[in-house]
Amino acid sequence: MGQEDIPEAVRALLAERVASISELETLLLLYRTAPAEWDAQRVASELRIERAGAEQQLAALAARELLALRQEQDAGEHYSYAPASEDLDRAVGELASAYEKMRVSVVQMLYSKPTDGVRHFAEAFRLRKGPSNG
Amino acid sequence: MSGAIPVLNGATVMACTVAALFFLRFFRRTGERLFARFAASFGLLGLHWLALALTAPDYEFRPLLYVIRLLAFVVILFAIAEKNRAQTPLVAPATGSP
Amino acid sequence: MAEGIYLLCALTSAACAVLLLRGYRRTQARLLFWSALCFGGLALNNVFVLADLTAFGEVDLSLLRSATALGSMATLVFGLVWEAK
Repeated sequence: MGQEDIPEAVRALLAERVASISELETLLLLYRTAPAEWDAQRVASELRIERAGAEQQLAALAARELLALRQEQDAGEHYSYAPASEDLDRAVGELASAYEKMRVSVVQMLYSKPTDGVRHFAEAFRLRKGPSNG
Repeated sequence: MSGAIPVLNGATVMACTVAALFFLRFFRRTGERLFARFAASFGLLGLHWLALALTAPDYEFRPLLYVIRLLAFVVILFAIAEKNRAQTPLVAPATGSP
Repeated sequence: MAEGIYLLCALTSAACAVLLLRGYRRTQARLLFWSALCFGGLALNNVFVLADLTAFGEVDLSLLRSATALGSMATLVFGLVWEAK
């Protein structure tokens, strides 16, 4: 199944900061081209998705401290890869390599988020943490 | 009344086995190693109470039995340590998940 | 030797119970509540074994020991069956 090989940091990233494949692809796109700036239109055409969707994803990823937003007066919003910490940066790096080597497992992991308390059980044993993601 | 004790212990063995199987299932589903370790731990506890059921209550004071129990709890401690070692201190996302 | 081990087990169980209760308060995931009860019960069980051990022949807590063990594990199994999908 391969899911056991996914590093803990990547697992946490997928559970807490990446909500979909689109978001994952968007994040990795900006990660690979860092420190380049992207706007929603360019992301949409690069990934062949709807512009509105790209806007949403970029905003979401920025809210989760993975991207930085730079607002230009009449030239719209520009995003770049800017993780909030080194650990986060490392986790994204591991995610990128995991996505390359074990794509199916990563996707499965992304979409198999149990909402029945099972994941909360494991998370309860994290000693130091920030606010839970409920 | 003391004849009930092996029965109680036997039932406990069954419960431990079921719990271990559930944790094994969670491990297969999520790949979260903590679950595999809890499965092992409850398996060991089941073994502990099985041995107790087959002998006598005061065997609990004997090395063989409490070593099994010790192992079970050491595995739990190890699981907790592992969980906290590799962690990335992440902050909760601003928006929810799918 | 045995006393130290059962004390360690009692403390570990109690710690697990606390962590799970904390997690339950935070997430409202009921599985954690039942699990916390289980580990609390196991802590109690370990304390009874310890008491039985140190009191020598004066008390016999064997029934209490078995009862708390079964009670704790039954609670956990109930929680797992009821709450986990």
